[in-house]
Amino acid sequence: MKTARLIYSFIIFLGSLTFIPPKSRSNGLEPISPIEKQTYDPDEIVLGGILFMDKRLSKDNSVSCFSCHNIFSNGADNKRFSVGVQKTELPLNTPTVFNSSLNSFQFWNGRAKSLEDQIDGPLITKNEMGSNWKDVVEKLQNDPKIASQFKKVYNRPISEKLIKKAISNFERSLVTPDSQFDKYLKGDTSAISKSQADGYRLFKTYGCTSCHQGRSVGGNFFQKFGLIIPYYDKDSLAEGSVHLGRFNITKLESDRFVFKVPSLRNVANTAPYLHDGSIDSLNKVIKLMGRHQLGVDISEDDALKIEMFLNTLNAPIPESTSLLRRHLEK
Amino acid sequence: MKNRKLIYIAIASIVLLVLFTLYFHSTKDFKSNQLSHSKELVQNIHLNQKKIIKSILELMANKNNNFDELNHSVELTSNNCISLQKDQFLTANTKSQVDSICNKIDRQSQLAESFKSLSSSYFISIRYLQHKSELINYNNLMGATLSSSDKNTNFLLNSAFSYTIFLDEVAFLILSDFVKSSNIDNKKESLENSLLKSHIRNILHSRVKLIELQNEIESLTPSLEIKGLEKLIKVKTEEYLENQKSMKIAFMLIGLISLITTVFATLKASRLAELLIFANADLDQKVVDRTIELEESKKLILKQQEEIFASERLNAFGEMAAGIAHEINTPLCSINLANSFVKKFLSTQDSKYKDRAVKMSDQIDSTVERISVIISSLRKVARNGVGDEKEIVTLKEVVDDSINICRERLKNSSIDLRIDIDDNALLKIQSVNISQVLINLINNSYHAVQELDDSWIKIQSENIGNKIRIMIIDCGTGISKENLEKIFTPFFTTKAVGVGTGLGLSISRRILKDHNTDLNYQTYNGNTCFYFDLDLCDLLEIQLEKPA
Repeated sequence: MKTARLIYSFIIFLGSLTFIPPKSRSNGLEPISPIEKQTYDPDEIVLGGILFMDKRLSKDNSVSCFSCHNIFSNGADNKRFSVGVQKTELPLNTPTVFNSSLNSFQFWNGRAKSLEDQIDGPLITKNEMGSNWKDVVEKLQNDPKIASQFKKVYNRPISEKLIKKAISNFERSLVTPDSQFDKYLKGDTSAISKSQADGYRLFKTYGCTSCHQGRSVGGNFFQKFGLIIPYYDKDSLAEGSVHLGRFNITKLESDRFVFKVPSLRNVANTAPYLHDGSIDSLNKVIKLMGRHQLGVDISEDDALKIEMFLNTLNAPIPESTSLLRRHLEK
Repeated sequence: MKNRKLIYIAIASIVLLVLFTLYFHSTKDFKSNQLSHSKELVQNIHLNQKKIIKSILELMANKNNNFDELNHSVELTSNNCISLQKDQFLTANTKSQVDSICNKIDRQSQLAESFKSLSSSYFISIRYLQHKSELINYNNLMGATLSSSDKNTNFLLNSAFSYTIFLDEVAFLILSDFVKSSNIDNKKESLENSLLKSHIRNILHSRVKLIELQNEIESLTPSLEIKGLEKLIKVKTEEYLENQKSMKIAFMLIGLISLITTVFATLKASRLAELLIFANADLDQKVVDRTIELEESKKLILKQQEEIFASERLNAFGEMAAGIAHEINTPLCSINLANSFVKKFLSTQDSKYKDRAVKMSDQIDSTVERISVIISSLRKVARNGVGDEKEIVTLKEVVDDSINICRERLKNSSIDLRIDIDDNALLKIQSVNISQVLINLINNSYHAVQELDDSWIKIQSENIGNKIRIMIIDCGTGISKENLEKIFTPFFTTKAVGVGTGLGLSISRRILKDHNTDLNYQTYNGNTCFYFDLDLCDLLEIQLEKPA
């Protein structure tokens, strides 16, 4: 009897081992960490979302944040250059608004640190939205519907600060967890295929993770474009050209051609690439990065595998957008 | 007059006390919150400084290559600094201290920025070398002979690795020689070689620079200032607590004064107030007494109600008593009659009556049989079935038990009893209770239609899904609207005094509630119809319950 009981308890012990969760990969040694789910206040998100789609934020009520950042597809537009109120093309490619809260800096040249500060950029720039805060606050104050929503969420009247807060907090809800790769990082080895895992290994061994790391797979510091082999001819660029990058802000020689390292989350959905949107395919941009940033020629096979890996960073569009959509359809 | 003055003083001192208390608490919370907030901020800065150093060390060791932590710590430190600068407790001399901390941290975050770029490019170069060495080793493994340039490259790579890992000085010399030498014949260089050179140069340069940066960042840790500030906050807190002590004494003094004057004023207060207090107390007592009384009578009423419901069973039978007597009386009469005939035959022994006498004797037998059926039904139904287990019975059994008791009475009033039920419907019910419901309903119908011509009562069943609907319909023309609202209330009856108790329907309803159903009323083809639904029994369930 006793031995039988011992054997039973041993079997139960073995069975219980199968319930121990698989060891998480994000133990600090992986250069990329998964995105965690965000919690948010639904009322504030709806208000922020409505402001995000409100064309009154622009000078002639023709453009909203949403015009260039389509939050129901990829958080950007698929054009090389977006068009603002002046009907002229903007000089830089529009980055996605998804996961922008995970970036340590905003804009290609990183001139804003917080999302709140970032809003000033497009809102005031002449050929983007070309407006100013005084007008925007006044226009919104005249709409009792918006005013009552502000009252409901913040219990305070409309102000520049609160508009920024609402939009920024909406943007903070636009994170995309649950990508296949995040599942893989959390220990589900079957979440990505063998060749995708191989792509990830190559991504690390080629040195891509030197810059594209962290939760956002980039976005947390600056790097020179053309680090190993220069991309632009130093003398051919005019003063103040957008290709000078951060140099235009700091005027430091070391910041010439330096840009914010872009996030690679959802990268397969956000063509075209580079700050000027000049490259249209992922394959091309992988090889270009290898050549100019790492000094290696990435073979066709490896580029394909890396591209397959990058596809695992795609995630479903943020939950909060469906909340907003439901509200809008009401 | 004197009393009034005292009262004024008492009121004034109480008001003073309240105001003082409010002020005391508001300042206390505000100040202590401020101090603990500043303390927290300083502690946070201290903690995040440690984190910055730790993550820089980790990055230096190439343990991981994730800047998130570093970024996060740097951001938190500068945010804490900004809040600290806004803090209220700052005076001129603490302000300079805080400012120097913030300046250092500002510079630190700038350095952290360059550290990140540099370490990433350092990492890229190391990766490049690794890549290169892998490629050469792979070729070697595949059997290709190494060219002299490959051998040279391999040698350089190995030196570079030993330099980055062990900081080998000889390796450093070899590498710097390589970087310098190739500078001379720059033009002839292949792209490969120039890349290798630039990467090695990058490693040499970055390694030194990174260590410099690391040292600088570490030296910028404002630990002295933080300690000073912590001390200052501590002193301030102590000062504040000291201050609180004297405040407390003043607080107690005022409290004492107000207490004494209040007591004095109360003592000297007029007799009227005293009377008023007594009157109030008396009133309070009365209210309490009345409440208790009310509670008790409520309990009594509830108890009585229970008792009434219990006795209703008996009442219902009392109501039926006449009917039951009749029920048994009629067959007894016929026995009597038959018996007298048999007696007559026995005394005369006339053979022409013989056949008839046998027939009569048979009739006595069958009548006795009938009486025993009635009595057994009565016994079944009269039993109090409140706590009965539910049992499985056919609908026919239940209906038969009920109508056995009233059949004769209905016949007597020449009421036609029509039965149209699904004989085989299986029910899991407290059969005695359901019989009582049926009897109640039949009784009601009987009372309603006995005066009418061509009267009839019909018991009908109808299958509705997995339920069966049992309907008791009579030839009456329905219940008036005003009565309809009241029929289910206990003690409501339209019957003559002494005929009904007015509890039948409410009790029936209660029984049906126990079977998760309800008694309903509707008009059915213009006639009065009471109906209720019962769950049909699942055959499978029965088979499971029956012992094999």
